[in-house]
Amino acid sequence: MEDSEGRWSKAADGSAAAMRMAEKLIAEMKASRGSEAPLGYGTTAYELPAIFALTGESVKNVADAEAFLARMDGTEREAALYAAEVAAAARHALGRDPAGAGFIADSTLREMGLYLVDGTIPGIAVIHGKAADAASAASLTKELQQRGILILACGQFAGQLAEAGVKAAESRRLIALGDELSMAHAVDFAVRVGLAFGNIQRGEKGKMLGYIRERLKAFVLAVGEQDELQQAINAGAEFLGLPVITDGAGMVQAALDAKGITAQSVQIDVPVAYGPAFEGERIRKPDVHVEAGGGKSKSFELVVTRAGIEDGRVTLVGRDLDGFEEGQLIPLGILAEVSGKRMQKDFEPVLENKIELYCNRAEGLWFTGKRGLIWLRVSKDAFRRGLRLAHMGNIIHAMLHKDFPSLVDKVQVTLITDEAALEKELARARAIYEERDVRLRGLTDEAADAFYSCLLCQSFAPDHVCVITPERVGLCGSVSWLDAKAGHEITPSGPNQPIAKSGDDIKGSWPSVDDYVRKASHGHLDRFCLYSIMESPCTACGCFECIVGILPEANGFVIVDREFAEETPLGMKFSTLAGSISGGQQAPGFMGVAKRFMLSRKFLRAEGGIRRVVWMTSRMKGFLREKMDFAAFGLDAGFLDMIADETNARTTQEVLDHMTKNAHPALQMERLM
Amino acid sequence: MDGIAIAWKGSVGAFEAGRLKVGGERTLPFLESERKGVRPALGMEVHDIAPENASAGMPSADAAAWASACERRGAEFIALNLASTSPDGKDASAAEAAETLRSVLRAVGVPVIVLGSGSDEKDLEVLKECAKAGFELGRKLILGSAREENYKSVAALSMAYGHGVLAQTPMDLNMAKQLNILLAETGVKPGDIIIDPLSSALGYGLEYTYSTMERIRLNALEGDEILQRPTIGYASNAWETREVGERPELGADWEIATAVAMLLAGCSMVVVRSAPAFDAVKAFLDRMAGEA
Amino acid sequence: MGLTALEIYKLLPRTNCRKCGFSTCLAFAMQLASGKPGACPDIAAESRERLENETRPPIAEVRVGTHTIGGDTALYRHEKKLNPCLLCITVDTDAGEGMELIDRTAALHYVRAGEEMRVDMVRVKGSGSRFLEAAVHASGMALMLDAPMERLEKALAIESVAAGKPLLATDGDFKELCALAKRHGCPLLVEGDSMEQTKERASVAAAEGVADVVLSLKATERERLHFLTAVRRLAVIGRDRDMGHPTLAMAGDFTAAAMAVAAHASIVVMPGKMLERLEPLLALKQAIYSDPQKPLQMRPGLYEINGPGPGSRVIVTTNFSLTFHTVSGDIEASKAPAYLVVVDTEGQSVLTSFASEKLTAERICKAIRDSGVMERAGHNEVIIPGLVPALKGDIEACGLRVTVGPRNSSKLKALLASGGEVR
Repeated sequence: MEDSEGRWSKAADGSAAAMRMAEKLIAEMKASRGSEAPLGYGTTAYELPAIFALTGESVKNVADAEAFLARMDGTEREAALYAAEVAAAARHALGRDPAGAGFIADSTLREMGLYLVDGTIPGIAVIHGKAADAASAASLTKELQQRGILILACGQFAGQLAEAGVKAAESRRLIALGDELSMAHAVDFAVRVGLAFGNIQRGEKGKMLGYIRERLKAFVLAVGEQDELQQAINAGAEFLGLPVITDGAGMVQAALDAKGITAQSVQIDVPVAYGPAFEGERIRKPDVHVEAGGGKSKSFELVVTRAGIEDGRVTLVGRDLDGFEEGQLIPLGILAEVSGKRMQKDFEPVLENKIELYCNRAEGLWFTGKRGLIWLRVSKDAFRRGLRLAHMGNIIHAMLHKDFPSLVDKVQVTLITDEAALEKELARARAIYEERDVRLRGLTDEAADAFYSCLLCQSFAPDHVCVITPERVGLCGSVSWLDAKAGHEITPSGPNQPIAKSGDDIKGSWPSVDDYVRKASHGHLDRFCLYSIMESPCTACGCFECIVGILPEANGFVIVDREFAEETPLGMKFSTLAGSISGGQQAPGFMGVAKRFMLSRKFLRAEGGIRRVVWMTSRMKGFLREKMDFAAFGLDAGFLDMIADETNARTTQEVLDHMTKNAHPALQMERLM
Repeated sequence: MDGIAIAWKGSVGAFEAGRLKVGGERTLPFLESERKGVRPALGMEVHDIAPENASAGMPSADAAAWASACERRGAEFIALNLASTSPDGKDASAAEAAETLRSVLRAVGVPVIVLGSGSDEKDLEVLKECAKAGFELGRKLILGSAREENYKSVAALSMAYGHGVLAQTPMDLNMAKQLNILLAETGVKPGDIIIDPLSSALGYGLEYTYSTMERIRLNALEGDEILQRPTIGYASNAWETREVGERPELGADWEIATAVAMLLAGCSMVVVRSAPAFDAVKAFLDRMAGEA
Repeated sequence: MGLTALEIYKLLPRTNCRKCGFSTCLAFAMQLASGKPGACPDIAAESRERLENETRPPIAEVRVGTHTIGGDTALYRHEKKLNPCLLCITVDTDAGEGMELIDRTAALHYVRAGEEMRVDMVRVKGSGSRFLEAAVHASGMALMLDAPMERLEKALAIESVAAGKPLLATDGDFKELCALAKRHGCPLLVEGDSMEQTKERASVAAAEGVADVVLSLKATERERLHFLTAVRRLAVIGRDRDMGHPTLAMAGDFTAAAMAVAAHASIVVMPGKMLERLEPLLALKQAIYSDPQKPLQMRPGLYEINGPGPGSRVIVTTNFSLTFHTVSGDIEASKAPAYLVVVDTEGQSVLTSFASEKLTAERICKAIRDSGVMERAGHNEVIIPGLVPALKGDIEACGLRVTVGPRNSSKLKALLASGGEVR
């Protein structure tokens, strides 16, 4: 926190001036009305709120005020706030309130508070001082109003607004409180939000300061040169936890950044219908206005993190849709740059994967693909209705904010149809994809200091828990370690929770994992050996892509995929096996897994890995042939021929024969049973 | 009883409003010894527009009179359904709804749960006006309901006016937990939260409600602090089923069966509509408490 | 708890001889591990004993007539499907009840979610001569006989009564009852005035060699709940063999019966006058004892709501009972005539079945074709669930026009109201 004494050099003088003002008014009240004359506002339950909240003292009349002021030595950082509060109250009692709303009633505060809590009002701006002129006062105000920020204006600034014809009204989120001294009412407003909504009791100073600093999204804009009284109030405000932003370019953004106020519910500005109902829509060739990518023209999508971007900015490099002929094939690059305090590079692909979904939701837009190979179609109808590339930018901006509010503070989108520019960006994008792949390959379980749980399936499998590691994807195939990590960032209280672990274990057993599993399965399960199938294997909910099962006589395992409808050499079909291992049942020798897990170094590690597989369906073989990095396991694709499949073995004996004929390594390995 | 006593690590938290105190259970339903026992609260439902399969023995023409009759019968709280505010129906304004609430609050001394018509946007308006009205009359209401989509707004009302909140999720333990966390993070006092796991009618999914309630109680007793909140069940939804629609004279039985099941599953608060159901369930609770 | 499939496999001969009806010993082992019964003719005697011992559920199974009660391994219904209770109506012959009540009891049935629900059992009680004729008349149903010892002996002398192996209960001498039960191979009711007495009698029955026992307590409603809970915990957690038996609750009235069903009593006995009030209790039984992993399913196929005809809308949904009831309820409330095509997703909800690939465009198209609904409606537009818009393209590929419905079926009313007839 900035040293306010450096910035507000005249604050001390200002405090003293405020004290004197307060004492003078109190003296006047005493003389004309007596010591018992009441001080306060009939519309609040909190007496003089700042004093009530921060000191716990009860100042209800002239005598109380006198005593209170006497006890202050004026050097307290918040002195000016108390003095201003007393002065404003005295002035009010003497009937000398300036023009303006003055003290805001508790009932109004409660109503406004609702909007603060539910986010409809993203923040409060308290503005005082004097702008260069009425026009700049008006434009500063407009900038804040556009963001839905509630504005409390005081001093000459308020007057300038009136001069510029800007109407102050609750409905416009603009309240002109009064003159400079009326800043006291901005302070007592802030403090009362804490009392009413923060469950803070009178006198709980530390709690109140913490609340205002951490939770109350309010700030002060000190416009123009600030005199000593203003500086004293600024110093007090900063002490209270309200950052004070001084006049300058980017004042508003600086204020928003200071309190982490980001765009809330963003409207999607498109001339076509938008919603999940259009996800499955297809656009046939005759209905296509323009088409991009699909392997026929250059295309890419990329989400990267970058600082210094402007939220909401959408740029087009090259021609727009109307600059091309109907039916034409165009190049298209989509670059979304994001920033956010909690955004991480690892989450870029998680956000990037969403672009397809976001675009598909627009009626007349069809999108498929990833990374450097996307395919897009814009329908003639959508084009006629005015859909242009900028709208795609709007969609991506709005939806990234909506889906990732805790990760993303700013989104800026660039759409590229210019060939030269696209080439350049595509080269950069490819380098980034490669970087990510290298990172993914390098993401090992050993290096991770936390695994993540996934409890998404617990609604229909109450006792099941998935533990997801970098090398062990969720059994449904949909949730990777990065997805779970991002999921946790986005919804810390949600279904993905971190499970701390350190180092490696051959079987994949850690006490921390066991503790978590025990708790999350409500005592139903005791432990998981993440890399084993024979000892405490991971359980499954029921939506696994394939099942691995032991074929005891063959000293190895069988893998059958969901689509295979016939009996396996185990003597059971997929459906029978599935029934015995779903719903969180732990069955040593059997496991439901995602296909991708078979490619992992951790697959069956405790039992010797992929070499233990003695039979699998042809479909699974095809998958492995395409995706497996055989060399990394010291094998080549010929290994697949040693593994039997439904075309050459249906019974255990036939599997054994095949294994013998092909010298399958499992014959030489340690006995499983 | 000589069996196996399980040493539970936690208990259900309490909720208080006016003279109503619910929660506090330290074991599974009705297993506490008579002296230490906690008794679930039995309330009755009131509508501002008398529903088709009305009230079986209650004067349903006027909400305040209806509520008063419920209280006289022994209802420990009232669930006020402001169905007239439905935009697909009468579309009564939030102000009118608040007026109805005021009349009910003047007619009864027991706490009132305020429920809208089920229309998201309208209900928020209605709750807002009612929250204010309750506050002005010095009463602690229970606002129904906060859900994932709107919880911040309902939370704000709870915080601003000091009312309790029904946290509603669709029969899913993890979602119930998450909503409680989100409400607390927003600033609602945990003690003001009552869990509504969504009551499906008997024959139309009650088993999901039953198991969710049972699991919430088990988790609370096993020490999961976030789920250590009382739950509420609506046995009155029995009146919306086809069976009861065809034979309303049997409605009370369906309602009783539903209520007993919910109580056995671990509800701390149960809502019924009909007089015979109220009497039967109250007698049941009396017997289980050793008072009859 | 219980042996895993591999542990059981190790006890088997491992010859894959197929005599058990399974292709491999492993498959048979998996069957046993999931609690389903099976017999291996070649298993070694020692292994058989071990297997029987290990696979015997904590709560023993008892046959009552054609029903089997007990056999549970779990405490709570959400853990694993519990074996359904039997609802039993008392025919008190001393109070004048008899044939007429028995006939009405046998005739009672409701159908719900494709399941037939009936009264499972009759308890014939009495000390007079009418007891015997009532027992004979009721012998077509599962029976419980509750009478003085001489009456029981006389009843069991009648072939048609004895063949059903009725559950025996008496106020008379307990040891004599045990001997009678053993002689006829009948299950017997072990009922005490206190938990201690029940426990004591249970061990007496075991000592007398009576295998099939049902436990009960003469108690207040409150004590009964404690008893039911205690017995279940002793069996499942404590592995107490003496108390590892099904339970019986004598419910005097409607709420007591509801409580007994919800508290997992294996047999719920109710007075005859409760017969007319049984439907909600049957529904409660069905709910409590449904399989938590296999949701209640509706019969797939075509449903007509509000009298549809040519021009009426066609809506597609899954056969998960909760989904079905919600959607059909909303359609009903809209008053718009509509056809509802219920696709067989094995009882899974829209999102679950979509994820598990049970709700596919292919299945939907087939269901629509098989139902012949489009011919009856006279158009080719269908409304699909709002949660699965991704299926639209593929369904359209089979010649239909698809409207993606609302994500929440409560909005169907508006959709149906606006649409009017489809041409």
